[in-house]
Amino acid sequence: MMALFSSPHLHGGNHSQRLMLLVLAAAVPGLVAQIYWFGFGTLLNVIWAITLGLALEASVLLMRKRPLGFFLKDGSVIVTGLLLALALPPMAPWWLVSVATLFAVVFAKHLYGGLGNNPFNPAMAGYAICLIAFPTSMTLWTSSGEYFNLPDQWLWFWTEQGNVDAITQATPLDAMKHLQGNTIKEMLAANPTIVNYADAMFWINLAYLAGGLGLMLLKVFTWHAPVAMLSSLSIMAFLFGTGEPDLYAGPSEHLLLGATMLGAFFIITDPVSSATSRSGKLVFGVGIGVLIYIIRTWGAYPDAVAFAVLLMNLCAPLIDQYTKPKAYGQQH
Amino acid sequence: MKTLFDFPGGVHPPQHKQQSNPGKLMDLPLPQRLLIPLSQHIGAPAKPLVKVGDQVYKGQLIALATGAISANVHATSSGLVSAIASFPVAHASGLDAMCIELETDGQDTWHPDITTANPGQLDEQEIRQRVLAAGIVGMGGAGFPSAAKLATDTPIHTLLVNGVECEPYITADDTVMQIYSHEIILGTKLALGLLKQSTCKLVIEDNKPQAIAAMLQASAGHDDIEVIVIPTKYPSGGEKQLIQNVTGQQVPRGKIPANLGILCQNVATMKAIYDAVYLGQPSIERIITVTGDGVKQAGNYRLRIGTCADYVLQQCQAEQPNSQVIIGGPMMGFQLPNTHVPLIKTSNCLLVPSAKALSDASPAMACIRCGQCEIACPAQLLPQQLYWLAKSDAFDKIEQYNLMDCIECGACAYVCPSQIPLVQHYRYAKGMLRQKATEARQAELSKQRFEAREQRLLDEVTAKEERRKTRAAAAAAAQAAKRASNTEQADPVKAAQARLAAKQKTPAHDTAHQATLANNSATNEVSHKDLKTAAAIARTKFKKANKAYEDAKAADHEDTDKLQTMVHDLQQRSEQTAQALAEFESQVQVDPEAEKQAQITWAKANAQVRKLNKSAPDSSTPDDEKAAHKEALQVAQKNLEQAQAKLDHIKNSSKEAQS
Amino acid sequence: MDIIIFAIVSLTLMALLFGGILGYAAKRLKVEGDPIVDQINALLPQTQCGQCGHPGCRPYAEAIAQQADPINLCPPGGETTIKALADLLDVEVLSLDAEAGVDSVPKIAYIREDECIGCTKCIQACPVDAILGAAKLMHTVIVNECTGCDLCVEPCPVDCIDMLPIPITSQTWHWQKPQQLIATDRQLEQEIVGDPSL
Repeated sequence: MMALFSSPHLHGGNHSQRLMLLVLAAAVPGLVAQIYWFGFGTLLNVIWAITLGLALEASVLLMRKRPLGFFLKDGSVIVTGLLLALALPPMAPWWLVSVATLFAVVFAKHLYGGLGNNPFNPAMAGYAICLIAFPTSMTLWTSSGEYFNLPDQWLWFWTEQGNVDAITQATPLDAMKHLQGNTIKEMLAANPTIVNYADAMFWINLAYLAGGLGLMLLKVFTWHAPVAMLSSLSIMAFLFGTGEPDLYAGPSEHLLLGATMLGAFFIITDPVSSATSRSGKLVFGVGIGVLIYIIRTWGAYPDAVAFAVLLMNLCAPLIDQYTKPKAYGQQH
Repeated sequence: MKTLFDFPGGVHPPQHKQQSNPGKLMDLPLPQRLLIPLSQHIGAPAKPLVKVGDQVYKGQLIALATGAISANVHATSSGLVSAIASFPVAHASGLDAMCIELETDGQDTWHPDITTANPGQLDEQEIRQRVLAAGIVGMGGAGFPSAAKLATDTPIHTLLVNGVECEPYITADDTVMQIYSHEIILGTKLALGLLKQSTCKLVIEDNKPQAIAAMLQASAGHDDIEVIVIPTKYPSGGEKQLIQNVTGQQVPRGKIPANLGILCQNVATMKAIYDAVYLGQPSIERIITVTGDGVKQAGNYRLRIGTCADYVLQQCQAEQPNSQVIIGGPMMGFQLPNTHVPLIKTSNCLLVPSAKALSDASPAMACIRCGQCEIACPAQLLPQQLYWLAKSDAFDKIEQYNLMDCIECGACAYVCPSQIPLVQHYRYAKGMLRQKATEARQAELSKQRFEAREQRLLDEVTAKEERRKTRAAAAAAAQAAKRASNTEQADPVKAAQARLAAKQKTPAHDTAHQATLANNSATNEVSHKDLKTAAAIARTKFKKANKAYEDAKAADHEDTDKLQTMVHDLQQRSEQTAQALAEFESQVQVDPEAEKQAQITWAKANAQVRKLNKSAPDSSTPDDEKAAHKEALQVAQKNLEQAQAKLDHIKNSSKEAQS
Repeated sequence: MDIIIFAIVSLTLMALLFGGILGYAAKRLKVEGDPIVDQINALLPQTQCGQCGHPGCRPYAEAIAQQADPINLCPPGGETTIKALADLLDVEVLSLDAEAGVDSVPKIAYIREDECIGCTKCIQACPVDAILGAAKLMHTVIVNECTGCDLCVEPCPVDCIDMLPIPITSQTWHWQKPQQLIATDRQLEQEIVGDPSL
């Protein structure tokens, strides 16, 4: 007998692969900007994370006795690898990238049942575990414009050989947190490299913003989560920053430094681990924005996107429970 | 132009409407065989009125509607009834249903009773009758009987005539509107007349300019009919979506459009109403789109109800048999498991797409909760959540996510990037929910019946026990009465009465039948005894034979058959004698004298009690007197109780005897 | 010394106080009936078939409530009922006890009316009064009320009762769950990827 399929018999032609490809493409401007300002480290990270991610995914699928070609094809592990590598510092050595990828793909994704079943954003889970386990390595950022050439970077990536002290420094967000009695202005005046660095971050964030807006226009995701996150972060920064402009970074610093735009458009829009309804995404985004501000300002870590996202991932089922939209005919 | 509203969600699939040449109507030669299902509508199937071998005319009523929600079925051409049996019908399950099979004679002779009429001369009741008799059902797909819909009690202020036809490929309604615009308007006027104070909004999607033009022209001069053009968006033709689109209102959950004062009807239904009232013709044909890349002669055809799909496909030169065939549109239609099925009043399209045009049924990937389905859902549900719940059989939870509000439009599956057959998941879950509800109802019913039976068995046991107790009490009463008469020396009259009472009590009470027998003639006594003996003998014989049979059976004897017959005979004999005995006993009359006596006894005992109660001792009376009085009272009360019981008993047995 | 007396006195007072409160609460908030039995009974399929060894569903529910019987003795309920019971009672899911019977498709009894001798034995056996008939007259099963419990089959002296599976009609038919590609064997992949016509 002929296999019968239920209606609809038409399909709009949208495929998961297409969505994944679009995300990859939209991340390219950010990647280029990051390479331009901080050197080839990021590129090596990306290549290594994706290669290793695919290998790990393949071996886990084999162990789970799942069809290989079918699941590798969905491209989700490539996106995870890319986002993870973009979030890692450019000076991350191979083992750090490996640990992060392993944790992201094997622990955060497949142990929970693979694509679609992971409660946490895999990239952020991998990032967070490294941030906790290897805090020094995770804060190795080059000064903008003063980075290794490709062969040196290659050497560093595999052997950690090279004069790192000369080229690494604290990130602007870190510096703004540890003012040591100075005001922000005084601190910036004393550290011209930080001003350069902040410029670099500004452009990188703009690149991510551009890519993210593109994705939004192509309806890969809705505006709800990013807009909610960015506005709540700005409002928090405005509320606390206007009172004490000397001690607290303002909205523009929060929006354009650190991983804000990468987070807003590429991380929190991961549909699997976020809240699912549109109103739920608003709550989810607001929660992340608020948490980012709190952790950045009063927490122990310089940036907070990973922790904020993971914490809100935890809340996603609860948010889903309370943001069920009213179905047709129930608005009474 | 009126302001239009929008409805949430929706998709824009490619239209493919020009493929079937809207506006051009074609005919096919009359098939030799017509297969007319008895159930072409929502509600109870119609009941056949003809027999195999009957000669029927075109338009003759061959099956009668049963109940309020049902529709008549008519012969769609003249010929011979060749079968009334189960045939596969156009249903996604491929299951059979009752159909009447006609061998057409090619004459296509109308039934002589079919006459035209001038509705101006018909009163409302006659118009309703004509619509009801014609067996018209909603021709947009749902198939709700139109007469029942128009007979609503709720006041209707807006009649929405649905010419939206939002499914891709289909142009049947488009064609009806282009060719029969005047008939549609006249049919609509009739419907408005039946609904009273109501105006009509005729809604058409903006991708049918010719139909819009035709309807605007035909409706010119009719103030109560307004043609409304809405933007093309699937599923704007869904009843609920249409209402929201035009009025901005949502039909509240669990209510029907009539609760908002709105009634929806399809344009083709309006034309059918015209046919029924003006021409007297029942619903025997419809316009159907035959289209798709797999059909060489795509187009709109006027077809008799009951024409088989494979005949149509063959006439239209469809690629067979490799291509799949869909009845209805590509979004909500269903694939035919078997093309040898009849087309019915609700079939609006026969779609034979090329393999490429349809979704390639590639295996579903994992749901990533991307939310595209949520954006597309016109019912404002969370399809991604429903999918997860359906997949894990969480039926309780899925109900809370309003699965039952899903209209199965398929917009979610259309946009799903993971190619998940979402609608099938929902249909499965809905089916399971319905099944669970039925099972729960059934279980509740079984429980009630089980408990009722338990109660009944218990009651029988207690009643038996009660009877036994009553008999025992009567015996005790006789004893007590004797004692009482001994003690109550002070009142000789009373003692005599008690003695008398006791005497009467014993026979009448112990076993009513014996008592009455004693009062009857000696012959009665004898025959009763004889019967009793005969019954006992028969019973014993049967028991013995039965035992022998059981033993024989246990020992695996071969001749058990003979024994069994014997046992059977004996059992019957035993039963017969027992029955005869019972009959005899029940025939015996209760002696009226005994009843009278019992009544007297009761009255006396009653008087005694009352008297004793009146003369209740006060504080001045000595203690021993008090005690004596108390005792006397107790005895009298007991007497009263016994007399009461006896009286009741006699009354009951006389009642039994009479019945 | 004082402190010991103080401790004893205060503890005694507290014990009395709380004992009183508990006693009052037990009286005031007394739960009528035995709702856990009702809850269990509500989950049982009410076929009253007795395959669990109890005369009807409610007695079995009582036995479960007293923890006298395990939750896996109900073949008509099958896995679903066991799961629901396990959920309710917060115990582990057991597989169906094979001795009690096997989980099978729902059936109903059907009396071959030509062969019925009218002995009324099945009527007496039916726990839900779903068989209609009188002595020496043909009996028949009220289809809507038959629970498919099987109890009438055995007493029939002429074996004229069949247990037939309930037929699927277009009213009761519904779509099956779509096949999932989570299936563990890789053959499925070959079937699907290898055969483009699917």
